[in-house]
Amino acid sequence: MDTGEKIIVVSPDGEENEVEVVTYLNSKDSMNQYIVYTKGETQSNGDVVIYISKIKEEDDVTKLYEIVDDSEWKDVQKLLKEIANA
Amino acid sequence: MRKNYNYRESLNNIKAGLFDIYEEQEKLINLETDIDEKKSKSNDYEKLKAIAVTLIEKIEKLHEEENSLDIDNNQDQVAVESDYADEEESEISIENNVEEKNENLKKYYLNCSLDKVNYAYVPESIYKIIKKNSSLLNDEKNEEDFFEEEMDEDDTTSIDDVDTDNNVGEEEKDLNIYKDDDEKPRGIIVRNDQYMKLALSKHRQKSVLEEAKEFRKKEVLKKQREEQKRELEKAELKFDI
Repeated sequence: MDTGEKIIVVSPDGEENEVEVVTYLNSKDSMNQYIVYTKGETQSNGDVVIYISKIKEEDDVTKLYEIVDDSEWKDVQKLLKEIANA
Repeated sequence: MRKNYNYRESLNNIKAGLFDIYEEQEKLINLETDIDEKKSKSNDYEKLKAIAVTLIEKIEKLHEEENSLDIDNNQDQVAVESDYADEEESEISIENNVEEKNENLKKYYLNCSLDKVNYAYVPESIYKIIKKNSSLLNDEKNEEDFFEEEMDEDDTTSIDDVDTDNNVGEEEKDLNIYKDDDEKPRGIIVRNDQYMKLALSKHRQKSVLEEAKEFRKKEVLKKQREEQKRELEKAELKFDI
């Protein structure tokens, strides 16, 4: 796997994990930004596991939130497909 | 052997005691008048002295060995401690390097539990394409920022026929999921559900307003004239003109 940008993802219990950024996504209205990253995990069939989170800047701290809205999740998938089909 | 036992002092005490015994025996031997008896005692005395010396030497040797063992242990301990310190230093330096490396990386704080993070399974081929295209898009974006070009809002691509299932992992590279909106809307869009009339152009509105103004003027003049006429007729009747 190519080595791209690396970041640290800090879990709520303080555990730090170095992960590799796959890409950043911006919503069509430019209101939301998402990050797609990987921990280097692969399935037995060769599929790569990627994680997607919504980025929010709060008090100079970059936080990652889960995407709970179904329509928002679909939009994120579409954004990923856009890149795949670019 | 017991530690902290003063073997040197014990040896000295033993030697001193033996020395006293030697003096005592030598006096006794010298006092012996019988030559054979004297010779026999002298031989026994010599043997005892030899045994005593041997014992003392052995004790001294053991004492020395114990001391040397302690010294070796101390030296080994020092060596072990120095090795451990070296290992610690190397570990610390490695940790520092890792920490320095991590300090340079940006931190993103997860605001949900690990089991709630959204994830997807992507075929490796698609994953590579996404990574490649992402880097290309980033390069293009940097070029766009450099030239400061504005995006046309009408150029949004339509995604009406995009597959809306939840599995990102499907290979849709070959699918033409986009259609460019070549036939842009022309003229004025009328919403049938709101029964809106076509808006008049500003030019048309202006001319209509002028016409209305002109019409009003004429109407007012006309009414004024009619009023004046009625007044005159009243005045004529009154004076029987």
